[in-house]
Amino acid sequence: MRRRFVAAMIRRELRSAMRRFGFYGACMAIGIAVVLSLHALRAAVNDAVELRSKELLGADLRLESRDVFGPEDAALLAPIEAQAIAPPTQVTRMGSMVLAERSGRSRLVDLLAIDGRYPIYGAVWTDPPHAFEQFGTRPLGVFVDQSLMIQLELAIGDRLRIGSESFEVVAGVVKAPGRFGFQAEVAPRIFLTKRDLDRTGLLTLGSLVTHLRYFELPDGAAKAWHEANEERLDEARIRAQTLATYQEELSEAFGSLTRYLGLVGLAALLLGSIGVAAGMRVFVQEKLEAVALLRSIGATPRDVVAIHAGLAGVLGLAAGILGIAVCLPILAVVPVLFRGLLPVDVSLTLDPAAIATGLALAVWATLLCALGPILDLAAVAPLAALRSDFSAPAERRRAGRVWILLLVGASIFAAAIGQAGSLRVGAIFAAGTLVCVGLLAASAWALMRLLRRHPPRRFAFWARQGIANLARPRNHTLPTTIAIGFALFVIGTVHGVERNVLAALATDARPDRPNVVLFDVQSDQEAGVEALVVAHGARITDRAPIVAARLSAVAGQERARILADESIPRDRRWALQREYQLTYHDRPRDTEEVVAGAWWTPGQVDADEEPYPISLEADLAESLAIGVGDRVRWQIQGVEVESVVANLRHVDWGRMATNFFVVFPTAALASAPQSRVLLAHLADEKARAALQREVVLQFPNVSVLDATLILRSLDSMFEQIGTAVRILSLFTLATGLAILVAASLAARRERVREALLVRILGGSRALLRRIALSEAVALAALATVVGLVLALAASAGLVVFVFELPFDPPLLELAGIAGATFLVTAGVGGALAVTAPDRSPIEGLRGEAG
Amino acid sequence: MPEAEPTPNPSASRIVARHVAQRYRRAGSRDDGREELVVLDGVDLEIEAGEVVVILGPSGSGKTTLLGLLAGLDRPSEGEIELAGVALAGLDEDARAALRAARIGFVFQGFHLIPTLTALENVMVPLELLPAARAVSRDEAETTARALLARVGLAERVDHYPAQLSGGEQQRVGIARAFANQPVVLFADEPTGNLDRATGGEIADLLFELNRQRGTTLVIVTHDEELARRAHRVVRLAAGRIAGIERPGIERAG
Repeated sequence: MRRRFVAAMIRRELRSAMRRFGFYGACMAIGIAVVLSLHALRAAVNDAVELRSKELLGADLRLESRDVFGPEDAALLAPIEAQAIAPPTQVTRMGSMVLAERSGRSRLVDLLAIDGRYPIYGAVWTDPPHAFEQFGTRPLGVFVDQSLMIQLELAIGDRLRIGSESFEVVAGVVKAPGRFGFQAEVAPRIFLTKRDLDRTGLLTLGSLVTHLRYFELPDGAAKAWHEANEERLDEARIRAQTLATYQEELSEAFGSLTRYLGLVGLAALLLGSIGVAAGMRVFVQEKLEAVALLRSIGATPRDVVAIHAGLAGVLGLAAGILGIAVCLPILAVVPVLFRGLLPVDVSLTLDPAAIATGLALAVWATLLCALGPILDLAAVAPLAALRSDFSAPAERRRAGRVWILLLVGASIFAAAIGQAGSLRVGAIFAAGTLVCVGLLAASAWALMRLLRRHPPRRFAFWARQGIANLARPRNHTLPTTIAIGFALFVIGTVHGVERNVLAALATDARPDRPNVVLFDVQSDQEAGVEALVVAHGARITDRAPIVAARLSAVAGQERARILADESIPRDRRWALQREYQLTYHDRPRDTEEVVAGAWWTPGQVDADEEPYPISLEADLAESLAIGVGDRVRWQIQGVEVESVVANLRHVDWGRMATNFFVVFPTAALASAPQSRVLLAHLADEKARAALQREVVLQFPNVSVLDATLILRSLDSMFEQIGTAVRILSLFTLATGLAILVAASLAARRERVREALLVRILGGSRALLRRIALSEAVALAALATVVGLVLALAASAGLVVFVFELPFDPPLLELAGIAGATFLVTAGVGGALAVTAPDRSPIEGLRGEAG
Repeated sequence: MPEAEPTPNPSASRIVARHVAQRYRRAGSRDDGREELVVLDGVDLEIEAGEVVVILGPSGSGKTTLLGLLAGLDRPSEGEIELAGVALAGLDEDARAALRAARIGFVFQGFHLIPTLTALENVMVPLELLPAARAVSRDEAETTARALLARVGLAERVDHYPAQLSGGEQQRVGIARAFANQPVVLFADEPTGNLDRATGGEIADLLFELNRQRGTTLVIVTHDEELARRAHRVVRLAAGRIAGIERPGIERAG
C-alpha cells in the first residue's frame, strides 16, 4: 500500500464525495444527534443524582419506621446518635384527609409533622419566597404543596381543616426534599409542626403513621454504620437510607427510563446506518469503472480498500461533526420534554468524552456500512477496464461478506446491550431490530422479484412503467422500504403499546365501577361510614378487612437469614421486606382464580389451631420461591402466626376491587386488630366532593381516595412520557425521509436521462409526472403497509407477552399514522421525481451522456 | 509495505506469448459449466522492443482478450506470457499490479478518466503509483504531469474535470496519463474508437509521435485499417487464432 498515493486519492475523492454524500451523512448525523442527546440526558440525571442527592434526601441518613423509635432501638441507634452533629430531626408522616373550608374541597394528603431543623440540606422553596423561615413560629400554620393548593383551590391565608383542628395556610411549597414531579401530584404534602399534629387528634392508635429521623453526620459515618448494622436494622424493621442507597434507588428509578430512551436513540442510529449503507451502495456502483482503471495501471486491491475505507472514515467523521451540530438544538429541547419527570431541572451539555464517543460511533458505523461495498470494489478485476461486462467470480466476495455480517451483527448486539444496560433487554432489542429490518428487506426483495418475473400488464402505460420502476436497475426500493418501514414500525409500536397499557390502567370501564376508596375505617366506625356513603347516593361495591403484617419466616428459614444473603434476587428481597396488608375471606372472589392447590373448607379451620391455611398470589409465591404446602410465619402486631400455603391464586389486578396478595381464613384473623377498606361507586363528581367533606368532618381518621383523580394524574404522566418518546421516534421518520431524499438524488442522473428519452419518444410532461407519481405511490404503499403490519405484530407481542395484557389494536389511530407516513413519503418521493427537464431533450441527452 | 519490483532485464520491453489459449465457461450453461467458450486458441506471438504492433480483427475475434492477457490483466487458461522480460505465470495479483505500475501504460477506447479528478490529477495518478525505488515527490509529479498535458496540447485545461472536456481532449489526457510513468510497453485498446475521423487522426498522430520519441513498445487493438497501416506489424485475428501477420512497412522507426 502506498500511503502517499492513498492519502492523495482520499483527499481528491472527498471533494465530490462530500457533495454526493451530504444527505447520507445527514441520516447518520440525525442518528448520532439523538444518541448524544439522550446520552447527555442520562449523564445529567446521573450527575444530578450524584451531586444533589444530599438535598433531595435532605440529610446524611434517613431512618424510617412504622413504630415509634423506642427504648428497644436505643442500643442500635446509640452509636450513630453519638456521631450526629446536631440532634436528629424527627418527622411524623401520616395520610389524612383535609378539608379546605372556603372551597369545601377535600383530599387525601400526606401530613409531615416536623420536630427539629428541616431540611438539614437543601431548602424548602415556597411561594411567597423565604416563607419557610417562619416555620414553627406561627401556631396552627401549615405549608402546602403547590399542587394541592391548586387541587383544593386554596389561597394564602385560607383555613384548612385537619382532624379536629383548623389551620391557616402560610405559604405554598414549590419544592422540598424527598419528592418531585408527579409524586407530589399523586400524594401531595402538608408541612406542620409535631406540636400542631398532636392537637388534631389524628394520632390515634391504629392510624398508619411513619416515623422518620433525619441525621446530620460526618462524611462516611452513615454508610459505615448502615453497612455494619444492616441485619439488625432489618430485625428492628427500620429502613435506613444513606446517600449511597438513595443514589442507587434514584439511578434505578431513572435508569429504566434513560435505558429505554437509549434504545430509541440506537434505533435512530441504526436507521442512519441503513441510510449510509444505501449511500455506499450507490457510491460503489459509480466507482466501479474508476477502480478498474486504477487496478489496470497498477493499484493493488489493498490500495483500493485503503482509499475507500479512508474515504468512508472521513465521511463518517464529517457526519459525526454534523451530528454534534444537530445535537445542540436538541439538547435545549429535551429537558423541556422531560420536565416534571426528573428529580431536578437539568440542563444538558456535551462533555468531551461524549463528543469523542459520538465521533467514534459515527466513524465506526460508517465504516461497517461501507465495508461490504468496499470489498466489492477490491474484487473489481483490472480486466474490467477493457471489458465492462467482466466481473470477478462471486465466491471471492462471499467469503468476506460472512465476516462483515458477523461484525455488523456483533456491533449491533454490543451497542444494544450497552444502551440497555442489560444483556437480555439488549439482545431482545437487537434481535427484534434485525428481524424487523430483515422482514422489511425480504418484502422489498420479494416485490422486486415478483415485478421482474411478472411485470404488471393490465394497467395503463404510466402505471405499468411507474410500478416496474421499483424493480429496475439502480432503484431505491430496498433502502426506502427499510427506512420508512422501520420508522413507521418504531412509531407505530410505541403508540400501540402505549395505548394498550394506558387502556389497561383504566381498563375497568364498567359504568358502575368503584371510583371512591375509603380506608383506615375502624371496626367501630364501619356502620357509620357505610351509612354516610349510602346517604350520598353511592353504592358500596366491595369491602374487606385489612390486617397489617410482616413476614417472619419462610419455608422454615428465618427472614433475616435469607436477607443476609446478598445474592438473592431483587423481587425476593422486596417480597421479604415489604409490609403486607392481609385480609380474610372463605371463598375465592370474582377477581381471583385458584391455579394450584385447593381452597380451605371454612368450617374446618379452627382459630386455635395453627398453622392456618392461606392463599398466596401466584407471582408473590414465585418471588418468595415457595409453593403449596410450604410454611410461612407472620408477625401480626407483635404476635407470631404460623400458616401453610393451601393454594396459589391469580388475581385480576386490572379490576378496581379490593385485591390482596395474601388471604387468610376468617376464623384465623377475625379477632386481630384490623381496619376496613370500602369501595363505592358514585358517579356525580359534586356528590363525591360532598362525601369526602362529610367523611373528613365526621371521621377524621378515615381516608377517602377519589380514584378518578389518581387516574387523571397517571394519565397525564403517561401522556408526557408518551409525547417525549413520540417526538424522539419522529427522528426515525426524519432519518427515513433523509434516506429517501438521498436515494432519489443519487439516481437523479439516471432519471434525467430516462425522462429525456421518454420525451424524445414523444411522451408528454404529464405522462412523465404520472409515471413518477405512480412509482412514488407504489413505493410509499409498500413501505407503509409492511411497516404497519410489523408495528401491529410487535405491539401485540409486547403487550401480550411483556405486559401480559390483552391486545386491542388501536387500528384507527395506527391507520392515521400510517396514512400520514404514506402521504409524506409519497409526497417527498413525487416532489423529487424528475418530471420535466428544462433543457431541450436532445441537448439534454448530449449533456448528460458525457 | 515494500512493493515487489521485477528485476530489470535487457529485453525489458519485449513481449512473448507461447501457445496461449483462453476459454470461458459459457454463461448459463446447464451441464455444470462443462460447455466452454474458446476465445483464444494456440496463439504464439513475439513483439520486439520498440516495435509498433496492431492487432486487427472483427468483433469477437479475441483481440481485446489477447490484449488483456499480454498486459497481465488476466491469466490465460493455457500457455505462457512474458511481459517486459518477466514471466507472468509466476506473479501473483500484487506483483502483476506492481509490474504494471512500473512499466506499463494503457490507453482505452472509453478514455477511462476518473470523473472526480481533474485532468492534472488523472495524469498524476500513475506517478504516485510508481514503486518506491522510482518514487517522485508530489511537486515533481505535478511538474511532470503539467509538462505531459502541455505536450498533448492541454496546458490551459489542467484543472478541468473530464466532464468539462470534449472526447478528443479526454483522450489526450488519457495519452498523457499513459506516458506518465515512462512505460516500456504501451497498450492501446481502440484508442480512436470513440472519436470522429478527424479527431481520431489527431489522436493517432499524437500517440505515434510520443511513441517514436520515447521508443516505447506499442500494442494497439483496433479494427481501424487506417491505423493498422501505420504499424510495423499487423497481427490479424479470426475466431481466436492468428490468421496472418503483415508488415505494412510504413512508419518504421527512423
